[in-house]
Amino acid sequence: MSVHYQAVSWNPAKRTYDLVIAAGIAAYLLMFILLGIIVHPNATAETLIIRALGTLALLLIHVILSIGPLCRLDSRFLPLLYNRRHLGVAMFLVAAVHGVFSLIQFHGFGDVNPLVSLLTSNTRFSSLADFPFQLPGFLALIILFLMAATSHDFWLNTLTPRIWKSLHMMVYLAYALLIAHVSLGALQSETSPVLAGVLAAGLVSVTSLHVAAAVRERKLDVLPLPGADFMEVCDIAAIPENRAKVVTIGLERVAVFRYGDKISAISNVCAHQNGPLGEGKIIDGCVTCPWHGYQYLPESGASPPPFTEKVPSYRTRIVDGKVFVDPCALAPGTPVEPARIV
Amino acid sequence: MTRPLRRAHFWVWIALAIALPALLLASLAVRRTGSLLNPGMDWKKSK
Amino acid sequence: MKSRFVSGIAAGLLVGGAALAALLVLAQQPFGNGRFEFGTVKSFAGVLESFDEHLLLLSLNPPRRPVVYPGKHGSSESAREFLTHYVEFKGTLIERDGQSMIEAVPDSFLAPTQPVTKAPGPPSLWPPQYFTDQQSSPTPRPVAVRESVSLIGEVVDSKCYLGVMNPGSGKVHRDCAARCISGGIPPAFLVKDRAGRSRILYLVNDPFDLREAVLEFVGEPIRITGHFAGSQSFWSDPRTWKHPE
Repeated sequence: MSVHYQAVSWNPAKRTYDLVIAAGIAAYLLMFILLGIIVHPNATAETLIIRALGTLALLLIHVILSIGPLCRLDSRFLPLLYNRRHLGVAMFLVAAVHGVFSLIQFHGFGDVNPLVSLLTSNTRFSSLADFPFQLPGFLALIILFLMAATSHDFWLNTLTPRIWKSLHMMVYLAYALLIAHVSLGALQSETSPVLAGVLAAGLVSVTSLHVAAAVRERKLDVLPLPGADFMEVCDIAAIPENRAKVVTIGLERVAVFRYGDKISAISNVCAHQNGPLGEGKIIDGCVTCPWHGYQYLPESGASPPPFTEKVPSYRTRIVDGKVFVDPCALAPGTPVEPARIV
Repeated sequence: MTRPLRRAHFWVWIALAIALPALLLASLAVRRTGSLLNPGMDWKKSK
Repeated sequence: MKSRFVSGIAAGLLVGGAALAALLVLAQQPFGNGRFEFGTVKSFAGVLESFDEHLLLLSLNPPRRPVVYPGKHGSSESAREFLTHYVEFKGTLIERDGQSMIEAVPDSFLAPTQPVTKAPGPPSLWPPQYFTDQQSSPTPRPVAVRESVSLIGEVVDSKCYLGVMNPGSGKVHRDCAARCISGGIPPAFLVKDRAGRSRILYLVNDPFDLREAVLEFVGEPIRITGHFAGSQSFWSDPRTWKHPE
């Protein structure tokens, strides 16, 4: 962790981010409900609220899922990643209210428990047109709940970043379930091509961005396996001052930093949330993760005291203006003498 | 991001890019847009 | 926000989100004319009759309208005590395109007199013109009973369709309709005539429990065969119900 990270806990940028989320949600709901009352005066209030919340949750998950690949394709989007989990929790809350309203509206006040009704009212699993579309929505909501409930850093530390990240990749399953929920539900009754078109546009945008980013990432990973010797990675000139070049060595990515007349290499994977350290810069002598501001000393990969996070470090060498890195990662936090630019 | 996660992302999105548009198209194809009119009925006359 | 770029994205999302909301509202299907006078409790009076274990009918000499209970409930044992009595009670009107129904306030039934009518005949004998709408003539029109008719339409729960929910039909409403019918709300068949005008026919049958059969077909386009049993009710054997080709 870093002093910076503590400082950004509630800074103006973060407040602005949350303010924009709240304003966006309010603007969307107001527009949907007020215009809905005018255009569809016969619609019941519950219907307008359920539809407003459902469509908003769907819009939000498209925005959330687009932020990651956009950042990988263009670093100018990185500030959007900064507080993405608040956007995620907001999306869950919107979806949860949609779900609770729907559960009360369609399953409440009846002769069985609403949850039992949800699971038993429609059992036409063999028909696509009549498929019980509320079930995928319900399952997606459970996943979103698990993600929102574990979004705090306490769970990140308790579960370890690797497991936490794997858990949070279930958002892709939730997304698929939501597409099924809408396609087999609302779009079966609502036949306007505009509605199907909007969903198709969102789907194509999100999948295209992810595939484009994944293909680009994959190219970086296709490098020869390392030998026992130091590997040439780049020219010194290829690394901007106080920045890094990210190289792939073996199975992992390494961030090679240049600062002053020194070259140091540490793992590219932040110990906090696997953020890309090599896309950050050196601030106050520390490598600063672009995602949440966690900091590490470039010569050891250890966070400055009193913080305890550590990432693996690598030995470096400079020969004829070219940077070489020892492919064998050292234990996280191991001090390494930086290579000197002569 | 670690390499296993990158690989998982890659394959997850390749699969979703195929499966989700297919699901959307299939659901649009099966929806019932046919006419439910009853040519033999005229509610105005029956009142 | 740190940069103009990010500020631009944020502004674009705010404006674009609101514009998208407007587009989605405008692209929705039109809503029906159903009306539920929620919060407006009126007094009603008439003879409470029952032709079905789960269906209470209030006779108002005419019109006769179904009486249902709040939520997804058709009636209760307490209301059944007043069957065949002239009763006064409180309720809320549900109305759509001339067809109406009353949601009774539970425990508001008062029976100032002794029973005034006999219980109607066997349940299968749904009398012609039993249900009439408010615009109909006080003199029942003779109906060709038992003439077999095939109709295409959708099974709905009458309470939601007439106005408690809007829309009260279709795929999204399917589970609610199943729950309502299961709870005793009279099942009805939504039928559009040649001009696309909609009305519902209350589905009746004996000795089959329609509620079980209905759950499999509710909210889907189906074809049913049977005969009119009055201007607003239709007798049909669920074994003849089919999904259209």
